[in-house]
Amino acid sequence: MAIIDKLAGVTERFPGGGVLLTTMEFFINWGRKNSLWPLTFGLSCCAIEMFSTGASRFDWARLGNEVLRASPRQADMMVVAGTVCWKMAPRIKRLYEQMGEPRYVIAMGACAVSGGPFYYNSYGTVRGVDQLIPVDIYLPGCPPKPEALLDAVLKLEKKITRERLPGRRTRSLSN
Amino acid sequence: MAETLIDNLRKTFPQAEIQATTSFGPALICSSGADLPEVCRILKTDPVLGFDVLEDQTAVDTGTQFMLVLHLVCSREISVRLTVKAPVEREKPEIPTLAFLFGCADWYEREIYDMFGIKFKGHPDLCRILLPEEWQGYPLRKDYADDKLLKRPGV
Repeated sequence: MAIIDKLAGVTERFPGGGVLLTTMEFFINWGRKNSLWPLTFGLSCCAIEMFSTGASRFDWARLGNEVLRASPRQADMMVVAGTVCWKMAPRIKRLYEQMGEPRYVIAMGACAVSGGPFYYNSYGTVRGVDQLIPVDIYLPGCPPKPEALLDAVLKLEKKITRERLPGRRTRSLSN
Repeated sequence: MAETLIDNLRKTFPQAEIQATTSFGPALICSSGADLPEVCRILKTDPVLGFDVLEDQTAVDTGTQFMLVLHLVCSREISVRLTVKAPVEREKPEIPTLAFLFGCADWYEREIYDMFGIKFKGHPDLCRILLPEEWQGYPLRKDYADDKLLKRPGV
């Protein structure tokens, strides 16, 4: 009963009990946000923090982020954890395009947000992964702690609950 | 120990310039890059010297020329170390390969080619190793510039 009480405003109890009424929008978003499938994908040191977040001490499976998937076709969330270089850029774009819709991106760490310490005088660094793919959550830090990544995941889940159906449109990637 | 090494080097290479103190043992400076394979072959096969491990190979852009830098270690006695340097012309950056002497020189030389554009004659597979194949220019040269690079303002 307690859980249903917390959903006041989005659910309606049918008189007599046993049946709940809610909107499709809430129901689908609720399912999506509680079952994010992250892609096994790390670029550099931030990935170590991401693995730590996935392991037993922090355990992001508590938030519905289940196992890291090795194939982008089974994943719908990408944590860009680390420095994005120009050689990696086409691969990141390809991985993003292979992920199923709706798909979400967290830019983790200063490098993925803006290029970070390699913003100036670097021939090889992309200054922010948002130059390549659309980013949902920017998570600063060098590297961010696992707690910060958990916070980013919670913010992403909050963002998903606010999405309108029929869901996000496929955003076309430039060149 | 260091003195006997320098004496041995002076005896083996009477013409070469030898600096006694660098951070990585004494430095042997070849007068031209063409001598380098022969110098390294002697350093490697000489029973007294026996520098048979190539620990690192890199290059320096001094602005007027490139300097190829090798760090050699004797596998019998790990504390005995030697730096070998060889100049490379800027206009025509070519130097013979060491890949036939030291197997690991293969990838070191590819990286030096990638970053400085020094061509190693006789290298089995000289192509870019870190940067994308279609990359233009050599980023660790002092005069490197491209449209993506952002200079730090005020420096």
